[in-house]
Amino acid sequence: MRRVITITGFLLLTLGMLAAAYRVLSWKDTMGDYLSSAQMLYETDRDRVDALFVGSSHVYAAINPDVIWREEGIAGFDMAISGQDATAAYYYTKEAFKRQSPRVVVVDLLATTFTEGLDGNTYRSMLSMRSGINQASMVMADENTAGRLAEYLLKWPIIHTRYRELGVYDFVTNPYNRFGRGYCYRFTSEEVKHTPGLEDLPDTEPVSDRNRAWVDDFVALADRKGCALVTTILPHEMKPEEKAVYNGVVAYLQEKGVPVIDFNHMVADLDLSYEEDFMDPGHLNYFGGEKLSRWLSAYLRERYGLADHRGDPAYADWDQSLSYAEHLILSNDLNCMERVGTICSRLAKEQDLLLVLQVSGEGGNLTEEQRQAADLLMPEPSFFDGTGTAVLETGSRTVIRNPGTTKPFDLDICPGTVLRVSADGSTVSVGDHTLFDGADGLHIAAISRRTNDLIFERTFN
Amino acid sequence: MLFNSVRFLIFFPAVVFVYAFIPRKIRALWLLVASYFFYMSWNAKYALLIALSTVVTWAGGLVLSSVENRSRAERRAVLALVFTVNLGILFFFKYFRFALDTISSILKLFGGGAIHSGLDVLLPVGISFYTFQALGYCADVYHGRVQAERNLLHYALFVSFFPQLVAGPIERSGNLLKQIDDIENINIRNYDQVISGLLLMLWGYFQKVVIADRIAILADTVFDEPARFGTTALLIGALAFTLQIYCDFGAYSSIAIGAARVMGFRLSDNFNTPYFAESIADFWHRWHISLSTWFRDYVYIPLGGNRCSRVRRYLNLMITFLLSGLWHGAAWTYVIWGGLHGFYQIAGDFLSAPLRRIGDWLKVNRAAESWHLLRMALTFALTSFAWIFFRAASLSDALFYIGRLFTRPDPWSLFDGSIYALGLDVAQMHVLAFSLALLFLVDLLRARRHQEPGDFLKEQNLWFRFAVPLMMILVILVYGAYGVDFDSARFIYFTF
Repeated sequence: MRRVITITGFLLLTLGMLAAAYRVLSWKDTMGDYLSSAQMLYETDRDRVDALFVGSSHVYAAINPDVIWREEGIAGFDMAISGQDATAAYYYTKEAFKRQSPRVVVVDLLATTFTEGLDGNTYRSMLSMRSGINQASMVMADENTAGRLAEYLLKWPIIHTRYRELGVYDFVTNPYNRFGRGYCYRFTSEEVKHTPGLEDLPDTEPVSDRNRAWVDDFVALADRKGCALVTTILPHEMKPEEKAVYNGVVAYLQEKGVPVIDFNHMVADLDLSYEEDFMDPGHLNYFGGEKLSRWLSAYLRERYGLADHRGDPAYADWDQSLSYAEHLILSNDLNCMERVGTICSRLAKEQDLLLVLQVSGEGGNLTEEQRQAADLLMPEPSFFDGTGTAVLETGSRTVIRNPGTTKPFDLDICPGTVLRVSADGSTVSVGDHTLFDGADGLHIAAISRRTNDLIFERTFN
Repeated sequence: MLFNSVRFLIFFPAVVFVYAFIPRKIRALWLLVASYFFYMSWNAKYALLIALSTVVTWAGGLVLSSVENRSRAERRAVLALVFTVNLGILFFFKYFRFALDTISSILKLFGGGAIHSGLDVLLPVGISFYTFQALGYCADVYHGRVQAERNLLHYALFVSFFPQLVAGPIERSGNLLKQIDDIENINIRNYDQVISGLLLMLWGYFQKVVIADRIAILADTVFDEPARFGTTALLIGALAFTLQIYCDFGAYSSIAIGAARVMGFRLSDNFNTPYFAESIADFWHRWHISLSTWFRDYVYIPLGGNRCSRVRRYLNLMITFLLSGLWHGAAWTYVIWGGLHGFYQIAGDFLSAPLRRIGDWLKVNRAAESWHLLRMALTFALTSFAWIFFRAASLSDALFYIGRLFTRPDPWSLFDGSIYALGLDVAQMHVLAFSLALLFLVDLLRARRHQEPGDFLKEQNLWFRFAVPLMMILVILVYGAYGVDFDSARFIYFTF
């Protein structure tokens, strides 16, 4: 009996230890920065998602659930993974149905044009899903995993080498993974060369057996689950041969009675700009995505009558995601602004920001514009007189560190990141990053208490 | 099916599970089936060779037994026939191409053309091991050390027993065959024995996937392009290979012995802290013990051993080591490696008296630890030097490596971060340093206390008995060099 207990104890300890190690080493990246749309979905309460958007980076760049929530209160979610292929799209949808009951599933058709898989993207798709029947079926069905089934099924042979790159969010869950809705915010623009008339190219590649089976599987799945199936072709620069594949697949989908929304035909209607609304030839940026998502939210409400859940505490994740997104957008806005007055005026209106203001140089000789701008942020005019560093919160305008203080100041922003001000106020750092350049003038930095990121840093002199 | 493959990790528990619950009478049959399955996982055709070798040596044993009372010449003829058939197979698959290349080179010297066999012969895995094991059995029957085995099933299992089939230890019939004959009485449900076997396997996996496969990256980087490096890196490369081959081969032996122990079999020890040896002769008492004793018993002693003139003894020694080198591989680098070890021993013996006198004159305290340490260091340096020939792709590569090793001093490379450009980054170097420290501790335990790590653990309190294997499992699984970043490296000794 004693031996049985010893062996059982040892096995349990082994399993516990391996489970803990697996949690740390597990794959957490589908969009970079330890963000995982799969984990976001797993963290979402059961039966909350009404509209599920499935696909590759095209989806998480174009369809913004935060905008859809803001506009119509529809609970949408991007189950999108970089390079997600057709097989992965199908099994991720099946996986989503284990916890959610979406009324509409919107599937992007980019995967139907893939001719070969990319290792990195295969890893993302295969490793992000929790182990189970769906994951095993996906691994076995995917052409890119041939010869390496054991590695993908067990996952460990692939992820164990991550010990070389472990970071704070391997040990602590990135908060965004709890409430994020799968969208990836990118604000940069690239002018995309658009070939006029390509979207109307009539060439048609007969639908391949693989794509036909894929469509059939999706249609059958939607029928079984009693949800509507909608397909999209999101705006991107495509080649004529890809367009021919799309045409074949679209013809087959129409034959099956599945709606297809080809956004490439709607560029003018959506007021999409090839100069400003694309991040690169394959992806919309936030601004393009916002336009598309606004249209899509209206479409979903009108066509499928999806409910408005705004104000319902059960949908707090959507509120939190939107609130988080607001600060990402704020960061971009602030960084695009030039004048100190405009920036301070905007900062003064915002909530949940931690501001660091530093005045350096002889006598703190700020310009009148700078002084007036700084006063907008202070609890009272001329609160900041002379040189020094102040830390304060927006909204309440609570001063956390007085500029006259001569003690060092530390404030935990999030695990692994501390805001630190030296005793004389001359050196300020956030984590490993030292703020400001030491030049004379007014220095302003803003840290979001929602995203815990440094969202703005500028010196005015 | 490599020991460090997922297939083996499924195969082994499955075999043990069935073995533990089937009727005792069919245990041998089950293990034979499992062993052939294991061997055929490399190439099903290889099974014909091992079967042929098995039948020939088994029949040879029976014939030798039946002609026990005949003249020595007749018995010798039978033994010679068995040896010829088996060594013929070994020669064809392992040395034929080498022999042709050598003859071609000689012919070229005299203006002749190269000879091409037109054959593309693949070396069957472990052929040198099972051939020597089977021939050892025949020699033992010939010398009357063991009775001929009449049960073909038992004998076939002796030749093909999967834990030690492809890389040893090369077992003696007096040990393994005897246990197989008694297989029905083996107590497989012996808790201590199973735990001890599993711990030994665990240690083997640690040596293989954490140390050997990691340090191999260093050795490969340097040996592949020695022209890129100076003395420091070349020295690191040579030391890396010295440790790699020990951990690699030691790992295989540990896993083999451990796996056999789980099933109730006791295999011979193959390594006994070889790098703590204080002389080359001592090294060969500790390194690949099953092979060195094979050569001692079946080559060196039949040649006359020590009971002859000094010159003849040196000749016997040199022949034995040259053959040992050739056994390791069909290339002159292996022959030189073997010859170097023979030379070390002859030189050691030749110089021992004068060196002793010099030591006496210098008042060397031979009881002091520092004396033993010096001897160990010198032996380690000599074996490391010889390994350069073993690892180099060709004789000219080895000579180039050695030439550079002694002519490109760059001690600054130790301090300017160059060592991190040898294939292992800082994190990997830390893992390696930690692992080598652990290896040193375990070897120290073995050398000083003559204790296996498993026996040492058995004496400890529960928390320690749990903590050590738990940490080993974690370290192997996390830091093991396997999976996508690493090709599942083959055990070096498989090619012999």
